[in-house]
Amino acid sequence: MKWLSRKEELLLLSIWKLQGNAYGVTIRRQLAKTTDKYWSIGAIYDVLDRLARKGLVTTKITSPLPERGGRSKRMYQVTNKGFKALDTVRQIQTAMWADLPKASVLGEEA
Amino acid sequence: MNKSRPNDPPSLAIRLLKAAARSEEFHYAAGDLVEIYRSIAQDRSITAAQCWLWWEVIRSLPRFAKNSLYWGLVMFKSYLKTAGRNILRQKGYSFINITGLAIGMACCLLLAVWILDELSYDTFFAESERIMNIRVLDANESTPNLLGPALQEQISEIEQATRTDWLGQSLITSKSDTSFQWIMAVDPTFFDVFSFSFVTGNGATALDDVSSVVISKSLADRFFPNENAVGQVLTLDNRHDHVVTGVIENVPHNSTLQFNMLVPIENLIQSRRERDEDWASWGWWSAITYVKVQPGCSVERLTDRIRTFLPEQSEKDRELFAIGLSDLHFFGTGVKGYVYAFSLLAAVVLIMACINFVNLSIARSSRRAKETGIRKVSGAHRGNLIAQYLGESILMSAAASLLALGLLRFVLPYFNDMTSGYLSIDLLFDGPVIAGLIVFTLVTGIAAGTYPALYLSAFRPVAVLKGDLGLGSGASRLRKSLVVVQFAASIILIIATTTVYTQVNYLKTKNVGYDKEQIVNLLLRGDSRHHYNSLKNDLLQDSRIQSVTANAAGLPYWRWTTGAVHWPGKASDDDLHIAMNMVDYDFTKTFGIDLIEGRDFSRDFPSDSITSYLINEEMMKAMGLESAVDAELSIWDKPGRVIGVMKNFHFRPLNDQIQPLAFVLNPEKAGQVAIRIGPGDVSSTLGYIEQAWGRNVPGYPFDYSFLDQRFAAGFRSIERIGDLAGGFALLAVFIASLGLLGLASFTAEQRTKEIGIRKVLGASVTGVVRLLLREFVILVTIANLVAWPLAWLAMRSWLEEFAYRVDLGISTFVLAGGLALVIAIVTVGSQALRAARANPVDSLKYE
Repeated sequence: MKWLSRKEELLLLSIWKLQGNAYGVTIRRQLAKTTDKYWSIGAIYDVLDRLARKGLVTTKITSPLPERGGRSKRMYQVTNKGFKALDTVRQIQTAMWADLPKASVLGEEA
Repeated sequence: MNKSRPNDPPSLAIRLLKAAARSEEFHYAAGDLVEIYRSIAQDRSITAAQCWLWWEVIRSLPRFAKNSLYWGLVMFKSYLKTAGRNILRQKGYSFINITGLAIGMACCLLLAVWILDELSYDTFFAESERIMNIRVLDANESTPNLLGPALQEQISEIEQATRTDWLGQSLITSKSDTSFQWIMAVDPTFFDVFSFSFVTGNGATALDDVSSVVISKSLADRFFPNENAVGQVLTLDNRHDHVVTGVIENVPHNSTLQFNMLVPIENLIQSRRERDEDWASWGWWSAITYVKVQPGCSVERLTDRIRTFLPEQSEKDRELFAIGLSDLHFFGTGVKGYVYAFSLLAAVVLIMACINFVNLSIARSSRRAKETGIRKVSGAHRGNLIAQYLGESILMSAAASLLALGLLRFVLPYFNDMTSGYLSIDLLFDGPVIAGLIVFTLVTGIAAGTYPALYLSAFRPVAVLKGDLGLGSGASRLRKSLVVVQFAASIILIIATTTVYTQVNYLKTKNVGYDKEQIVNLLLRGDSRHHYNSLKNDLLQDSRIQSVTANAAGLPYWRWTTGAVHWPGKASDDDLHIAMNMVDYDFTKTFGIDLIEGRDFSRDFPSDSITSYLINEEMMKAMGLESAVDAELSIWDKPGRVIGVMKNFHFRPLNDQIQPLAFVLNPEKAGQVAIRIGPGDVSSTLGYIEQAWGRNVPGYPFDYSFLDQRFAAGFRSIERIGDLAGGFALLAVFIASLGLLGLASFTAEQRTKEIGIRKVLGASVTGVVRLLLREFVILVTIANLVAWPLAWLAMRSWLEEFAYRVDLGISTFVLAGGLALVIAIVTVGSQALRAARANPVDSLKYE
């Protein structure tokens, strides 16, 4: 299967970290905390949608809540497939980062 | 209600989001937005929260919209798939519905092809918008012959003027073939204005030489098969040699100018001069004048410039005006009126087809009601169901439009044959027209499918699954009257068809007063008339040829009349016009016309050629005589005596009464030869006639025809009306039957329970069938009552054109009505029978 994209990876990790309290608002806050960027709701749902379609997350729907204007939450949880996909990209990442020579910028040597 | 609680986010933004996102996604996203909005509103200010929300919604919109579009497509695919399955599952029903729509669409397509063809006239010339026709107000297309050159000289807006006129029909001889052809005479500038494309030759110089000729490709192939025609010689009337200087592509049918052969106009001027006529003068009006104007000059501007041109030139008080080439085809023809009439007809047929589609769909609603119920229970929204049903009707209309194209392809050759048209389906396969076709298909699908979609998707699942359809209160009056209208139209068309065919048959078989079988016609043109006597003598050598005669105006029809007729006792205010003909000896013998009294022209009476007249019964009546032999008569100031009276015979189309008629003996003027041949081998007799022709009239092609065939050909145009009416009758009957079928199955569906109860209480199958049929028999009867007087009026006024006509018998009406009734009963019968046979247990099990 295709590797996770960076956005998908970040979202999956956030959901994992939130441990059962992952839905639109908390995911967004979590992402903002680590990346220092406020993602648009549209961007988040775009990716969440894709994750759900690929079966990397499961969803659960709560009962309607007054503080959300009578709307329910959709809670997300990482599936086994999701964990595996995360593991794959991490392995590639580690392998790629291993044994790199010291970073040198062109022009400094001359 | 407190409308603007501080905790509520701006509703407009939320609504915007709702419009863009698909409903499911919107629900959770909006929940998130509200939650964050509230926390911002609490922590900071409502304004800050509002700003944040707007910004958030706007930057999220593209993604949501993209997503919802994607899912929309996925759903559309699924709708189409389900629709396809539904159509295939109900094959018979789908077939009827699609065919009905297809016929409606085919009518519209036929109309479209026709209009496109009409609009394509004269558009193929380069810069056709700069070409105009000049005409004189309140005159036909003829203009003063010197108008063209004068205009070009004096009106600066005109870049080039060119004239056309007919030189006439001439005998054309090449080294390999001979035939008569119509020749058009044109200015040498003709091709500077009209960009006909040359196969070989150069338009700019082709007509510069007086003895040049330009011919069409078909003529080139005929006169010079398999060789290059340019440079070859064609001889006109055995006198003038012309060198072919150009061969052009055959003139397309959608050109107002139609010709096969062009010579420089100088030839026309010379040939008229030989007859002491001055063609090239202001007094002669026979040329048609065309001009090519400077770029940017409009028809109105040119008209303004030339309006007073004629009075200034030739002191005649006639105004000039210009017609754009694109309007020339429509000018004064009323074609535009036909366009509106046919558009209306096609629209009516299509609307009928759509209405029938609606009726049939709703009639089937009980079958689809359960499906609707189940879908709704499983969570389908009404919107989904509407999309589903619309998808089905659009798919059907797509299938119907394909079928319509096929139908059109099949029908067009016959239609062209009937109307002598040149319509081609290829006109439809042009970029913008294809786009139009697709839009047309979608619109038809939506028009036909909207009502059923709304109707079917509105069922409440609980009621439907319990078996209550709530089908309203009966077939509405509207539906019933539609069926009446459709059937009335069918009946009228059936009556029209039968009447036309009976009339044609009557005319064809009517005794015309002479024997038209076994007569061969030959035509002696121009100088060949001098050979008539030797030809006649040669022909009579053979025993298979019984008699030979000739006359100036040939049967079956001629038109010559004269008012210069006098006899003793004629009232001075009597301006009687009588028919005239100049004949040879043996006219009555050859055509088998009986004489009431007297005798035919005879060589035994040398004075016959100067002072004798042969008249018909009608003429004798006009002269007020009981016996006309030896009566004095003077025609064209030549006094003479009547030598015989013929029984009346028809020499005009049977639309006209028989006129008074007089014959004079004048074989020299008689170019129409009639030969009565004996029974037996016609082709060997014809072979002998051809040999005799070759011996006596060398250099002229042998053209013959049979009188009975020419007679029958005269009825083609009337038969065409019958064919067209018949075609439309077939269509109308089909569409009306569909409408009836829809109504019948609807009623049967609606009365299911009533029928169940009746059967339980002991009603028989025949009883129930009769019950269901009765309603429709009444409808068709009403349709008959509507149709009969209309058809009677229409047919009576059509028949009035004929002096000899059939009676409008009641039998035609009864027959058409009966036919409609039979069709109705057959259509409804199957439905009624099925409804009547149904097991009452099934229809009543929910009670």
